[in-house]
Amino acid sequence: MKKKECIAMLLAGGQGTRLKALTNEIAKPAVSFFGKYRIIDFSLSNCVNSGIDTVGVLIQYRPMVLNRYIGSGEAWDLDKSDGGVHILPPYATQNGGAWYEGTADAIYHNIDFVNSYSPEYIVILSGDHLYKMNYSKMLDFHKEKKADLTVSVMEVPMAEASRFGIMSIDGDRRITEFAEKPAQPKSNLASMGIYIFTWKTLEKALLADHEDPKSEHDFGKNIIPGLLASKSQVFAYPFRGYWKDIGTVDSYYEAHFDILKENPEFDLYNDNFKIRSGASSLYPAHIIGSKASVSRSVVCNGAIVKGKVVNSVIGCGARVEEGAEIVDSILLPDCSVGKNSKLIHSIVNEDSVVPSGTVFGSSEEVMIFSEGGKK
Amino acid sequence: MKYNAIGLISAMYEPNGTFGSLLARRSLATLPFGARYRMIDFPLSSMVDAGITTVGVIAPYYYRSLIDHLESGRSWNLDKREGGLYIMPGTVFGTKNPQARFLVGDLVRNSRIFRNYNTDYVVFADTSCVMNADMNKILENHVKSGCQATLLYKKGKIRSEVVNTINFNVGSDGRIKEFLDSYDKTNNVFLGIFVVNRTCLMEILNAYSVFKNTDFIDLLIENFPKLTINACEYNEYAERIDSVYDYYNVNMGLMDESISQTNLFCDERPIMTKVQDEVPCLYIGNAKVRNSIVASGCVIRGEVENSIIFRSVHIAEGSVVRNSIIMQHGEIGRNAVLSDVILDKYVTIGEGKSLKGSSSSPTIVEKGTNI
Repeated sequence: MKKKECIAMLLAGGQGTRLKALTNEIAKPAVSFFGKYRIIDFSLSNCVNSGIDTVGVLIQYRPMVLNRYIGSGEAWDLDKSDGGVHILPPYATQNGGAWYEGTADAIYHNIDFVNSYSPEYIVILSGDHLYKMNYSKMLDFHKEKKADLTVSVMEVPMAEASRFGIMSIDGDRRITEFAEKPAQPKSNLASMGIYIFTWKTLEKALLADHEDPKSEHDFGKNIIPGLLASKSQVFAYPFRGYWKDIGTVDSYYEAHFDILKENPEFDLYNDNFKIRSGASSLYPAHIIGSKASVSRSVVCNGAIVKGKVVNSVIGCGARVEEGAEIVDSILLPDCSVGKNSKLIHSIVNEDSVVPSGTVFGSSEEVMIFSEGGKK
Repeated sequence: MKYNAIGLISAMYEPNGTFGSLLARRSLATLPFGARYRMIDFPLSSMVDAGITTVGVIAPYYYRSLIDHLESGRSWNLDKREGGLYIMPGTVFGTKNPQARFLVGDLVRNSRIFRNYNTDYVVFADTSCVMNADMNKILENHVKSGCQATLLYKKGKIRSEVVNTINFNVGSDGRIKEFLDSYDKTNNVFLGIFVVNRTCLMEILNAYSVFKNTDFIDLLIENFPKLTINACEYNEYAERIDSVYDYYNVNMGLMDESISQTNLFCDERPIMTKVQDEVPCLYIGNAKVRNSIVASGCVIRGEVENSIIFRSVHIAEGSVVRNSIIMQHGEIGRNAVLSDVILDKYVTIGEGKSLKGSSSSPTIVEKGTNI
């Protein structure tokens, strides 16, 4: 196989229980986002926009929709004969089979895959973050520091620091201490869950970690603290820009409205760093009916809007019938909202059917309407 | 594949009605339609949806937009190792016969496709109709008829005064009784789609190979009644685009959900088009929109009513767009007022400008114009 300087491994096997009903039937990276995207689009697009053309996607939990969505990788121009996107599920061997038992274990089981490309460096990504980032700049930093591991970090408000993995650094940006969700944070530099390893170092660490019966085989809990303890070269790469963990219902919901702002910090409408999507191209353009009204919203292809839509996201193929009112809400693809229904501050899951006359939602919390099975 | 057939689409066919600048640099095949399609998408999708995996497209004189649109055929799943999409160079034989669909010269020069793919039938289509034809039904009708060829038609009136179609009467046996010079006497509207047995096609091509600038369909007519020709009536939605008037009205008709959702776009036979990955359409500021079809990539801050808006159109604050068709990448400046206009691609309308046509004769603005 052609040698690659750097490949990416995307951890996409998580269940994502914090997204509640949205991940009942599909893996978190496959959850629909902003009408036509799926969460994994952001990581995959970042890879492609960074010049990384070989990506392993580690899957485990309910992978059907995710697998179909990624397909040959064509949507991201990752349908390549010398690299491209590879789906990597757990597998059986002569010694039986096993599930991936942690983020590090998932990579451990694919050491052969990584070695087939003989990379110098490897980018480890999680599939549930909303951001645009050129990993090649982080790689330049990693090379300049001659690092074993570079962790991408961003400044967060001190008050929120205890929700994150917090890094302490010295004047050379060398990480001196790492604390997972500390009660008394010593800094406000939060790990974004984006790592670049020098592959030889990581391979060694993974082999050692696999033999450790006490390890949870997790990057945050085992691999990174292990490298710090062994005085490896670990640095913090400063990222500036919009970044959001969209792994909870509240943050998932908020992120949509971050994009809907005038002059948003996270701008999908800027062509310079395009987020690509594998959304179906079979939907016709959307129809806005003669009695409809739409304000401060996005509407995707295939949607039919006959009711009133205010400050909302209407996904591909979604239907809003006459007299229905959608306010501060997100309709995922192919759902429908019946006549005279009222939806406030809520999310309607893919393919769900909201019957006519339903009143749903509360200003207190984001509620998810999820009824009717997936296609 | 239900029937052993290959498809052949003429992208060179040009109607003789008025289209102004819309067809100055493109053929009817690549005329944008319905906010995100091109006319060729309809016959091409119908063939693919029927399981036909080998389709030849005879390219027109202006073929840039055709190549740009079709690429490798992957948007129609025609990027295949076996069969797939074949773009065939066409020839322009002067201006003698601009309404020709399948010139014998083009068929003979590209006849390798009929020899390499040893199929029973060849399905021909021009790009003159907006319809979602079930090609398998047409093939079934053809096979049952036992005839050598089958022409697809519908009963009804043609919208345009300018008509260039094949006129025929149908006998009680479902076969064509006679071909006529004028449409007035028949009320049978030819839909540009016909099926020919491959052996019959090859015989005619061999016999007439020197008549390069003759339309193959004229040879069918000339050899009638030596040939058995069946007529298949089509009862579902089908509209011919013979003039700007047709183009404008058939586009506007898509606002009727029963047409667009039930008859034209259905899950069983999707209409496919070149995949363009655009952001969802954004309505922001004082956007107001009613009774319109809008594609992705648009940013709408003004007022839109009874209009068809293609991809990546920006409509600025205070502007009003009514009863209009705005093609890809249109830029409508602040406080501009447009009504009954067709803007070709990449048209920019300056701040405060006003442009007005009429529903019987919409104003056409040429591609790339700044006003």
